[in-house]
Amino acid sequence: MSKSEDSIKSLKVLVVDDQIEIRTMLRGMLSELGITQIFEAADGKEAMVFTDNAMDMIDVVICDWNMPKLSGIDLLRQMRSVYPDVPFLMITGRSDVESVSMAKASGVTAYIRKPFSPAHLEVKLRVIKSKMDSKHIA
Amino acid sequence: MLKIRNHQDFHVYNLWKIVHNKWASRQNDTLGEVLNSLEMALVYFNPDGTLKTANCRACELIPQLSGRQEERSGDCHNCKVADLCQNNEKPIKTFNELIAYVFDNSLDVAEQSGLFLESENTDATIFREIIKLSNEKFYLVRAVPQKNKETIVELTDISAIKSRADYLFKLGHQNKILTEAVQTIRKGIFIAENKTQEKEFLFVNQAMDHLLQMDCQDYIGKPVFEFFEAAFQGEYEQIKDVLAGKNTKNQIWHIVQDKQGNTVWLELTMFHSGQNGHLLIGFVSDETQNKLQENRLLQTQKLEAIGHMAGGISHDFNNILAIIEGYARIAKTTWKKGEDISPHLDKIYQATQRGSGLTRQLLTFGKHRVSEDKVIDLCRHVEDVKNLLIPLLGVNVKLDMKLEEGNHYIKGTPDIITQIVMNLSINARDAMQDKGTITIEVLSQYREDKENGFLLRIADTGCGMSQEIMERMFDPFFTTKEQGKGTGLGLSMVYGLVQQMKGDMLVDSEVGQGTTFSIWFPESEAPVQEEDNKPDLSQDQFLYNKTVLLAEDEPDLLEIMKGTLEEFGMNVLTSLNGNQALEVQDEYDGKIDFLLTDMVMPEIGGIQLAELFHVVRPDTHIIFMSGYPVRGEISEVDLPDDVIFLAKPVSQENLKNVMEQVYLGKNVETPSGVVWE
Repeated sequence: MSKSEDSIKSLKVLVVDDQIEIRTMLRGMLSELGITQIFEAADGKEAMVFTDNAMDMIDVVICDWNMPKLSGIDLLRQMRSVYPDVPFLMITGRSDVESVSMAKASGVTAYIRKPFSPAHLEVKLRVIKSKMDSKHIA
Repeated sequence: MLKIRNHQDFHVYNLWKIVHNKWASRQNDTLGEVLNSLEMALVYFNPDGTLKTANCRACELIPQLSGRQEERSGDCHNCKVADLCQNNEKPIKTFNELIAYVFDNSLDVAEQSGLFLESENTDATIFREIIKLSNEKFYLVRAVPQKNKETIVELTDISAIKSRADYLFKLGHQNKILTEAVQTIRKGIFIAENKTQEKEFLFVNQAMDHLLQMDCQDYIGKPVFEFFEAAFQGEYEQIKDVLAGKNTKNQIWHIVQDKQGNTVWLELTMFHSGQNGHLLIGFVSDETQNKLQENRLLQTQKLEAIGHMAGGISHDFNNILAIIEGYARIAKTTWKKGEDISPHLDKIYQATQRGSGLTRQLLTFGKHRVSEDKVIDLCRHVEDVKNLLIPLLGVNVKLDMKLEEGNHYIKGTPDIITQIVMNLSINARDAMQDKGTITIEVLSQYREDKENGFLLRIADTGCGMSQEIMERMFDPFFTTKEQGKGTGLGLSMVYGLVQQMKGDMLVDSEVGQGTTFSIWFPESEAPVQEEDNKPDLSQDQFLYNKTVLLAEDEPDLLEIMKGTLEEFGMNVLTSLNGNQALEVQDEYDGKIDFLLTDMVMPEIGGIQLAELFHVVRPDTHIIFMSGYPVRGEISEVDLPDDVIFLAKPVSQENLKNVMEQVYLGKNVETPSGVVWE
């Protein structure tokens, strides 16, 4: 009970989105949650290059579903083939059952629907942290 | 005037003779009389330096100059000048000889100790010296030239002046040292003196400027109250009282911040001094270190008190454990015989209730307030305590219960009645050294001055209390029991509880005769329904099939609560911390009706969890639980007033009541009888 240290602050996060505005917004929200180690990639390819070189520098990938070169779902599949355990938070604008089940089937750790508040993001990060702690990352 | 023809051969004693004869023969010569009666010795020298004449005092003194100890007195006519001078080894005959003598015997400048020499007009003087004779006398020798080239030498005894001057010089020196000491001391000192109307600021040392961080010197010469007003604004009234003699405790605290922002404790003490107390002397000292040490000491004492208390509590808990152990043993034997053991289990259950009541009381000690909504029957609950008491009192203590027939409704909780009766009975037992009779009575009392009520009387035949003990018996931590046996909280708790129930308490005790506690409770209206009508928990319709998410970091407690909630027919989700609770709700697709969360957990605590939970599932009812106080002074977290909170340990009944009321959107009344303030 005395352990009140908030562990999500120490998470190292890679933000993948083609729109700089979204990346900036995410960076702002993450900073607000006390997260300091935030990295950015402008598309799936950049993200793959980053993870290939510095996988030990990230704990969580936050990625948009819709990206021009390599979609979020493609990036997830590619990444999972190399790093089957990497926690992956998918941002989606779609809330139809089909997309959700597709995302689930592809193995995202958690997904978050647009629009979302910092509190929503915090909940999802805590869900991911809880899964990381109990080591049953999907 | 005398004429000395050959001064070379002329012995001085001859001269004296001539002088004497001359002056003596001319007794009517007024000038001669005057000169002879002078205390000052006068010698007149010719222009060539030979002696011309001298007065009587000179005749007496000159011979001494060369070292004769004895002093001559009396009339000059009778003194044998010739003899005296003959005995002189080197009689003074000329001015030069006198000068030589004077310079041989003159004091150095340092020894002159600030005598008036320097200040005197020296224009006309040839020399002026102070000489010290062998008889410790000091003389001022002054030679004054005359217009006719003759010289008058005067020798004045200045011993008295010299000693006075020496004294003043020493005094000045001492004063300088004292002033320096007063100025270098770290304590602030000031002196005020009675002037025409009020006291005027006379002196202040440098330390005062430093301590008060102001220029105190500016107030010198001003009325002392002007200074007090400026320097001790907050304590001005207090100072006035002290000076007027109204306040005998001559100690005024003045708290300031130093340049670093630290708190500095200054102590001001003052007293009147001098004749008729015309002086006011004040001291200001920095007592910060002492204060800090005092606080540290208090802390130590507090820890000591807690240590004693821990001893007492363990004693109380051991009593409870003894009950549980005893009834568990009895139950085992009974069970082996194939008989019903549920009455024994009930006793064990009651004892655990008392245990949880004890911790609750401890945590809220001094801060609790009784919920007066519940109406209970005093007699029934006093009787209930009997069963708990018997194993505690031992075989030699007889318990006599005289409970009046009929209903005795009062506002309160069974828990409180148990506390009161147990505390007083255990005190009674200890007062009797395990032998005697405790009488517990409940009777109706109708008083004219007050509303109707009931009297709970607990009397023993023990050692009784002295006046001193009775005066202090309600003080927290005061105990006469040996270390580790009493908390010193029992009576103080009883007193607090009785007060909260708007009751009265009377103590009657005599040493050796025993003690009687009489507690009066106001009568309450009969309850609308008997509180004992417990609904069957398993057939609950509100909670049945509802989903509850439980967040509790203590795995055993989580299991127990899960079982309890499942007994209500609920669907229970569990989590061991806040993050996990969020994960569980994230995975769970259905509706979650309740979140039941502990306050203090790893990762995130209950409050933060509730905030986030509300964002993602705004429909969920949230209930907090904790073993710690969550509001008020002793709380580590501050729970908003409008949230629903349950103090641990949570009874099944309370939990169900609260959940039902929350579900139905009712205002929840804290059901435990004691709420956290």
